[in-house]
Amino acid sequence: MNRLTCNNLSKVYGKKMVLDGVSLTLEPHRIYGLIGRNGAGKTTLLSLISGQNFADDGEISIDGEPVFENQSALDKICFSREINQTVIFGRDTRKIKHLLRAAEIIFPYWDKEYAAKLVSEFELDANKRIANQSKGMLSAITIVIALASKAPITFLDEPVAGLDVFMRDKFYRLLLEEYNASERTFVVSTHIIDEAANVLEDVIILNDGKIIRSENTDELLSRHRIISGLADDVDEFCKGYKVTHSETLGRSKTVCVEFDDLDKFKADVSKYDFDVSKASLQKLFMNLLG
Amino acid sequence: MEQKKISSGAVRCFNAEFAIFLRELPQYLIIIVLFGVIYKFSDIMSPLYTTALFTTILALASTMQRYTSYLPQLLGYSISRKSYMNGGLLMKPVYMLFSLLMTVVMMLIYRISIVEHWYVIVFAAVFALFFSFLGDLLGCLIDKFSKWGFVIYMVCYVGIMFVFGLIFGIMAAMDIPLSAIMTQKNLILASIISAAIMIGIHVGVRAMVRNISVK
Repeated sequence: MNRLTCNNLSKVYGKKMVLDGVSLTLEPHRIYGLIGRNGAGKTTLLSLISGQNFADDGEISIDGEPVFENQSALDKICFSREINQTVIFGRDTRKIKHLLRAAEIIFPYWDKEYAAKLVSEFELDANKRIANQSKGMLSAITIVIALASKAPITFLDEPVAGLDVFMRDKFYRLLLEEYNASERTFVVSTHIIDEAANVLEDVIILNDGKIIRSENTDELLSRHRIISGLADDVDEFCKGYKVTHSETLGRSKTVCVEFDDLDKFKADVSKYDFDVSKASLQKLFMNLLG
Repeated sequence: MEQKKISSGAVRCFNAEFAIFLRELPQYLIIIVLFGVIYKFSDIMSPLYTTALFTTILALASTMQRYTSYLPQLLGYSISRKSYMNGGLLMKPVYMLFSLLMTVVMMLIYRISIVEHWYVIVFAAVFALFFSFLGDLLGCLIDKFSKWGFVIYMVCYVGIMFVFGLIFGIMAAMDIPLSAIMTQKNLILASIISAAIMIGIHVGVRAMVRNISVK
C-alpha cells in the first residue's frame, strides 16, 4: 500500500523548535507539494521521515512499520537532495556515472534504462566530474536519481533550484509521465510555487515548524478569493468571513478571504462592487504567511 | 512495484563500496609497482615491507573514507545505519585479501620464500584487518568531531606508537631479541588483546554511528 504516516513529530536544534508536533499522512499515488518559507522546517521534515535524521518526538511509519533503521521500510523511500560538491578533504572528484552506479546498486527498484534516458533528457555528460557541475546540473542529477530510483515514496527537495525554464518545464513533464505510469508518491519541496501548482495534487504548507494547511490544492484554492474594493465595503463584507490577509491603500482595501460555501459567497459578494479574483497558490501562500 | 534485487541493505552497501574499491584499484597497483621500481634502481625500501605497509594503511584510509565521504551519501540513499555497519564488516575481508595477495605477489617477484616467511603474509592480512578497524575509529571521530576528531586520533595513535617504540627500544638496549617475547603464549595473548580492541572499536563506532544524521 505504501501509506506513510507521521504522528506528532518534533525536532529541536539547540533552543530552536524546528518542527512542532507535525502530523501528516502521505497517501499512495499522489503528488504533494511541500511549501514554506526559508527555515520553515521543510528539509528537516523530509530528512526525518526518510530516516536520515532523528526526531526528538513522534513516530513515522509506512503501512504500520516504523521507518527509522528499518531497511525494508527505507527501501521504499528515496530522498533526493542537494548534492555537495565538496567532501571533507576537498572537492568531490567522482563523476556523475559513479553517483548513478552507486544509486543503481543501492536502490532496489532502480531502472537503469530510464536513468540513461533521463541523463540524455537533461543533457548531462555522465563522464563529467560532480565538482565541475553547475547548480542547475546538480539539480538535474538529483532529479535523475529521484525519478530513476522508482522508489514508491520519493522526496525531492527543491529539485528545480538552478534549472532554467526549459529544464523546469521538462522536469514537470517527466514527473507527470512517471506519476501516470506508476503508483509512486512524490513529495516536491519548492519555492517556485505557481509553476509547480499545476502538478501538485495536494499541498502541505509549513510555517515555523507547524503545518498550517494540508489539503487538496484545487479545493484549497477554490475556498479562497481575493477581493478589492472600498475599504468600508470590504470591512462590512468581511464580517462574516475569515480574512487570511489584508492590505489597505488609501481608501481601497484588498483582502484574501476563506469560505466553505461558494454559492453563499457568490451571493454575498454580488451585493458589492468588488473586484473578485481567484488566488494563485503562490499568492495564497504569501497571504497566509504574510 | 516488483523489487529487482532482494539482497539486504548490508549486501548492497558492500556491493557499492566494492565497486568503488575496484574503480580505485588501478591507482593502488600503480603505487605498488612504483615501490618495486624504486627498489630496483635505488636498492632502498624493501618492496615487500613497503607493500605490506601500504596495503594496511590503505585499509585504514579506505575505511576512514566510509565515514567522511560515503556515510552521508549512503544514508542519503536510504541505507540504514545498521546495514551500513554490517556492510563495512563485509568489506574487511576484501582489504585482508588484497593485502595478502599483494604481499604474496611481491614475495614471488623477489623470490622470497613464502614457506620460510609465512608470517609476513599473516601479519599483512591481520594488520590490514586491525588497521581497517582503526579506520572505522578515525573516520567516525572525524565525522563526529571534525578536525578535533583527527587530533584525538593522532594523539592516541602517536602515543601508542611511542609506547611500543619505547618498549622495543629498551629491549634493544638490553640486548633482548624480539624472538624472546615472540612466544606462543605471548602471541596468543597479543591476539586476544587485538581482537578485544577490534571488537571494542566496532562496538563504540556502532554506537556513535547510530547518532549520525545527514545534514
